[in-house]
Amino acid sequence: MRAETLRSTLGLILIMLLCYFLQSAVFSRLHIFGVAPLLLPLVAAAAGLLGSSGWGGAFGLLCGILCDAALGGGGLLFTVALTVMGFLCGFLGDFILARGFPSYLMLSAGVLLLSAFIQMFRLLVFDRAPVWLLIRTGLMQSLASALFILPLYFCVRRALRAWRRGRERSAH
Amino acid sequence: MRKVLKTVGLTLLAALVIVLALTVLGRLAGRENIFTRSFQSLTAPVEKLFSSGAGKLEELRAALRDYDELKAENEALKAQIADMETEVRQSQGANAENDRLRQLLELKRSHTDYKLLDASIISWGSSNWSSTFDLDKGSFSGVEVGDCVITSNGFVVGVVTETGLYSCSVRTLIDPRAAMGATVHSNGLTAVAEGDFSLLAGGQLKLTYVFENSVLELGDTVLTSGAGGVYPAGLVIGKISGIASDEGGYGQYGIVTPSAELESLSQVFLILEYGEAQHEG
Repeated sequence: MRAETLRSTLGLILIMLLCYFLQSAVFSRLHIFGVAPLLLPLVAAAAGLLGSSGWGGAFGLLCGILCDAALGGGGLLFTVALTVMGFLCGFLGDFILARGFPSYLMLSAGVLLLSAFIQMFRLLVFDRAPVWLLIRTGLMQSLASALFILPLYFCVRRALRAWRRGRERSAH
Repeated sequence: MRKVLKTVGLTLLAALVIVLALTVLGRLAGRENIFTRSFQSLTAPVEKLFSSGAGKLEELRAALRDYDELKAENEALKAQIADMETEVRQSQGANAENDRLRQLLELKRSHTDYKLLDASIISWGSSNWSSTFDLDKGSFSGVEVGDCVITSNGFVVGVVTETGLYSCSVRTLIDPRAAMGATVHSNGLTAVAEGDFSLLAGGQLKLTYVFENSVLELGDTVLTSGAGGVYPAGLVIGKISGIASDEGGYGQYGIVTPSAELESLSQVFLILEYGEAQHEG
């Protein structure tokens, strides 16, 4: 592994672990707008869009494992979902979307809403919980998580800068 | 210059002679020295002022002299207060521990068939859709999936849903997936206490499958019935804090506020084994 790639990987791992500890230890007790925000899906989306589909898939998997651990209950929902979402974000960044903040904002909103929908699915279908309450909780969760879009965009972009420079150098 | 000296000198000499003459005459007449007395009269207020200032300075000097001593004394007193506060805190902690152990002893006395294991909460799940937490005991300590989790005073907390070697996951009684057989203590009414998503944020659960003509009273204690085999009978779930109608108004359900204070929970007990006998809560 090249030094630039290693540096970017370590940077992203650091960001991911910080988000995990914030999500599991801080926001499990300290709520924003009455809900706990989800940070790890944002990291997976950023790794995909600002890196590549490979980065997105790999960090989607790691973020998914940590997200399932932070949420509790021993599920594998996010391990699968974030791997796919991270990969798709990378794919869109590789071929369709520009690698800038507007694209990240759009993808983050999609990832957060999709995460909320995945979480409410079982309650909606099997438990028949009130739909308006599920939607309200999902929107509040997405809104609270959206506060971290901007800082995470800059952090992940900074972490992936070394890898991107190395790639450009080798392309020239 | 000589002229000036001569003039001034003569003037001074004349003044001195006058003063001496007046003083001598005054003494001979039995009076005080009018010059010194007049001067003292003029300077008295200023002297008083200086004297007062000096007094203050003396006090300040004395205070400065004692400052180090007072400072040392202050430090010693602060240290003493800190020690006493620590002792009070330790005493409060010991009292709380004592209360908890006393309650546990009581629990063990009233439920001799229980095999209990104490555990601490490591972390709470950060999901907005469920209520779970992790404990620091796992299969290495004999914890199994389905073990019941209670507080030291026998209030139901939840059930173990997953075990690792040194930790386990617990689903609390307010989680939307939680359900247990329940009985109302005052009238023996049987029902099902289950978590509900609409009550999750408020930290409450639902008492459902209540018979049509049954009467639910606010404040009634709800206990586990033992049905289902997960929870032993007679454990306190909580108190009925509200009564509401089902959608369509065909039946009623109770809103139960758990007796276990989940928000402030840090230490819990796992019931690893229990007998089939019925117990009083």
